Amino acid sequence: MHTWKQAAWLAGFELKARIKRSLLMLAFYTIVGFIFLTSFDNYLADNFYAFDLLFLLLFIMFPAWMKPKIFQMQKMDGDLWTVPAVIMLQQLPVPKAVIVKSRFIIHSVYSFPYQLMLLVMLLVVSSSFREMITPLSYTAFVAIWLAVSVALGFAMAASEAGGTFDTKLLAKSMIYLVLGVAVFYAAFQWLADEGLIYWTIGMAQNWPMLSIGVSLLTIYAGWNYWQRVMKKDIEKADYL
Amino acid sequence: MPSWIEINGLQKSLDDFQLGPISLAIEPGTITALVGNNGSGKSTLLKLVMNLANADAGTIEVFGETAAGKDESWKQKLAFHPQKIIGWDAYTGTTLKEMISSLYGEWDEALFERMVGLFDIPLDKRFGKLSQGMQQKLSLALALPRNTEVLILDEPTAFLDIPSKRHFMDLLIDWMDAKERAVIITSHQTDDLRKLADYIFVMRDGKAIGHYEKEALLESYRRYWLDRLPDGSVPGEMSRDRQQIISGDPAATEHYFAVQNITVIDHAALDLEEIIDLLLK
Repeated sequence: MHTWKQAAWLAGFELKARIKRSLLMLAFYTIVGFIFLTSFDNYLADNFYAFDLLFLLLFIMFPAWMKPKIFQMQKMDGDLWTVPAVIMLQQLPVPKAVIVKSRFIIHSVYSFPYQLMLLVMLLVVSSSFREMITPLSYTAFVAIWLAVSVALGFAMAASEAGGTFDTKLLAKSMIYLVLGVAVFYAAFQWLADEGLIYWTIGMAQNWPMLSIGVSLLTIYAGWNYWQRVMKKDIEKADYL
Repeated sequence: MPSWIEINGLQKSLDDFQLGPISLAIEPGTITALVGNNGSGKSTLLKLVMNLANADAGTIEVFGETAAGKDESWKQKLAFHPQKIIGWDAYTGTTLKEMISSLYGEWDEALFERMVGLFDIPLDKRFGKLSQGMQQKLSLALALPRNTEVLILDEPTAFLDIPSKRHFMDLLIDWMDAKERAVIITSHQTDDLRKLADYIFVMRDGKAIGHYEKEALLESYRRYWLDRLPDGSVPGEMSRDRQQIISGDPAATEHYFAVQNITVIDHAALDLEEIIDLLLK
């Protein structure tokens, strides 16, 4: 518990340092999200693909982009890529486990409030969505998407450990990642014959308790797994 | 007395650079200067001590703990002032002080305030907005008051103006006198080395050239002005120029002069800069 307390205390410095900018960003993206969500009924009626991509971006990539540039992953000397705080805290008497937890707390602050707000807005804005979902299935729907956020989105938090990467290799990996997501999405559409959000709504409607259970397990496993990955990567990396 | 830091056979390869093997012990009550040409691996060595990178071979023990081990509590006993400060840009001096002071049980608030006053540091400005010199002053004001047993300073005076450098030297000497401590310092400023160092560890292109006691090192080199230069090589001879010979073994050189009836017109000790220059050639 002391580890989490110290991690939260350290995370507080970074979060407070740019709080005005972060709140402005949150307000801006809330408005953008609200405008976008007004067309959610179209998605439900016509399987409007852009919504799936928007959700994937919001739950996986968006928290990393929300962070102020000064705290984001950046290129240091040579081919070293990392978040400056990871180097700064290792030069202080801060255990690596605390560094990892502080990065996860910061990532959570940039993830969950906005994602939850979006999920609530969806309920407020879309009448079709309200009609098709019960309180229990809505809970399951929220749990599924939070599980996506932790299982996939927190890979971004873990990647903040950084390391020595060849820039060309990094660019190639990004291209493969985008291609991979595109192939997965296309295959999903072809196999399931419906969009990802639609599919998760179906899961939440048909198997709400199972969805909640699996989602909670995924959240627990993902949360711990990515922390272990980040700690190992910090131990492996050369911050020279 | 056991060493506080013990480095044994340390090696690290980075692209086309090979550091080591390096062996070095840091004892309490001493100031050790790491000296070397640019790119000799001084900063890399310090970062390895701080466990910021993994060694390929060899060991580093800090207060009996393996630096790369699970127990990271030894970091409480070390304060590290890096050459390039990373991650501080978004924070004001006040915030950095709040963060750093809380992490060290022996934080000396009075010393911090004294240094802030002496260096005239604006604590309300973001670190990234400060000039390089002011950044260095703030970083030093946040290093010394940690009151750790060991202080590691990587080029601490590179951007300081002359009065600030003098103030810092005086503060560091007082700080060393107050308690049993040890300092590892890298510097290209021979003035720093002359005033501060007890030991000099010389490195060239990643390799250790030698670990010397400063006073002994100063006594081990001498320049001789002669009435005539002998044709052959002189014992201890490091270099010769017109009627001068520089010797790295004065006793052997003087004995040779006496035997060969060579008159020494004058002789003088070399200054530290010249000796380091010779060692790095």
